[in-house]
Amino acid sequence: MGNIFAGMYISDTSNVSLTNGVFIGKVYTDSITMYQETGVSSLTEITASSSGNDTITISGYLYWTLATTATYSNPVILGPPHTVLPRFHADSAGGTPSSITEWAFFIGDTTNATSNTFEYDVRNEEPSGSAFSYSVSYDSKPSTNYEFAINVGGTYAISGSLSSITPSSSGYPFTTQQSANVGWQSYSMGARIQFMTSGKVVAIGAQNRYGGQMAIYSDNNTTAIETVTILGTGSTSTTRNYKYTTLTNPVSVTANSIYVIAFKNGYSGSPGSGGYAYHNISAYDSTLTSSGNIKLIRGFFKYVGSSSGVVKPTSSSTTWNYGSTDLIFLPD
Amino acid sequence: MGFIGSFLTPLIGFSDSDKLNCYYIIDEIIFNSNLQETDEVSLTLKINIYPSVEDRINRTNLLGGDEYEKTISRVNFSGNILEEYYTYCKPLIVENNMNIIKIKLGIDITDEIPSEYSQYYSLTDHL
Repeated sequence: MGNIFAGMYISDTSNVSLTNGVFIGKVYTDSITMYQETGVSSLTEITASSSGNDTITISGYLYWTLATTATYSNPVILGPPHTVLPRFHADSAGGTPSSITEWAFFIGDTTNATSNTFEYDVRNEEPSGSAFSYSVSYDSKPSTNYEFAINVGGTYAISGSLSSITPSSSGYPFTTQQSANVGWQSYSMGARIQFMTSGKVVAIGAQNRYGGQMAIYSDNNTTAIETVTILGTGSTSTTRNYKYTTLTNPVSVTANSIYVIAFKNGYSGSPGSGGYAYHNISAYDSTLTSSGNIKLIRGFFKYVGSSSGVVKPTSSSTTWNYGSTDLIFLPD
Repeated sequence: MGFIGSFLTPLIGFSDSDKLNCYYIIDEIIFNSNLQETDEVSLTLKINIYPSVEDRINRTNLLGGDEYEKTISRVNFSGNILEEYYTYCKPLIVENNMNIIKIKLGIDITDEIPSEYSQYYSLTDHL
């Protein structure tokens, strides 16, 4: 792959939504990362709608500034190495983008001296002498390191789009559940998690015989950010067996931020049957995972009644992770 | 300032994990306010529970905690707010522990708790 530069634009494909334009953000040896070109206030990744082969057009006007001799020979780069010129302009913030048909370059001089000279020529022919050469090399895409906050692996399943990922172990000395069939259907139970680095919570999960409802909360808010359904294990075995569900909207977290996850078996109109698991965390409560990215801070529970849905729990323990909840994190 | 009371697990029945004469102390108060939009301030009162006052002093053997929410008006930022928050939390802690005891005993949430278990939900002020 050559002559592909970050900043170039994607066209001529129906496998990517081109409505608001798409540009290349990152280039790897075997893939690219694409972002929306207009209409968003922060970088918004665009993904292909299907997998397989596709033929696309990648284009863009590259802009370099070169320094040459007075006779336009022997060019050297006068950074930055390259810029891809924008394709749209707007008459106001949030205004409808219009296509750019041509560009003008303006160079200012902020000094008061009258003797400064700087010639800037836009030429229609290549410089002579030693040819200007510019190319970039690409690295392979870094591996995506999903990681459990508490779980250490073994038997688990992830519902939704992330069903095929293999998160790494938390590294905590967590061997087995204390029990996996407790009648805690009147409790909402979970854990508090601190993230030491920024990233995304992509899935939440728990071990429960019957399954139930699970939510994630910011530590200073009792309103759930997202609520999902967790499948049951159908088993009372204390062997680790977590069921996760991919979040529809991954929760972006900043370094040092704290979140609470909670699980509840049963809800209004369908009281639960229990089937809760729990395990001892006293050996690693308030310690970092092996990656150093996550810290478990206590297990939690709250009496809410068997007909209640999931609620942010408020009573905590440094000894037990009630409800055996967990999450999957993707650090930036 | 604090309370002396029990630290309960949700486990069915009573065991060594359920401890009497523990020390409750408000260790953190979070003010979530946006006074440009409203005069209301949402408080989160975080209580830590230690096996004893001595453990609290030495910051050892932390058992767990409780958290309670309270909404106040800005004009309430006066006087001894810490004492006021202890007064606010006390009945909530008692109610919380009573609910846990009923589940531990397997009695209906509307039933009375037998008197012999009152030591598990009563709180004593520690000054």
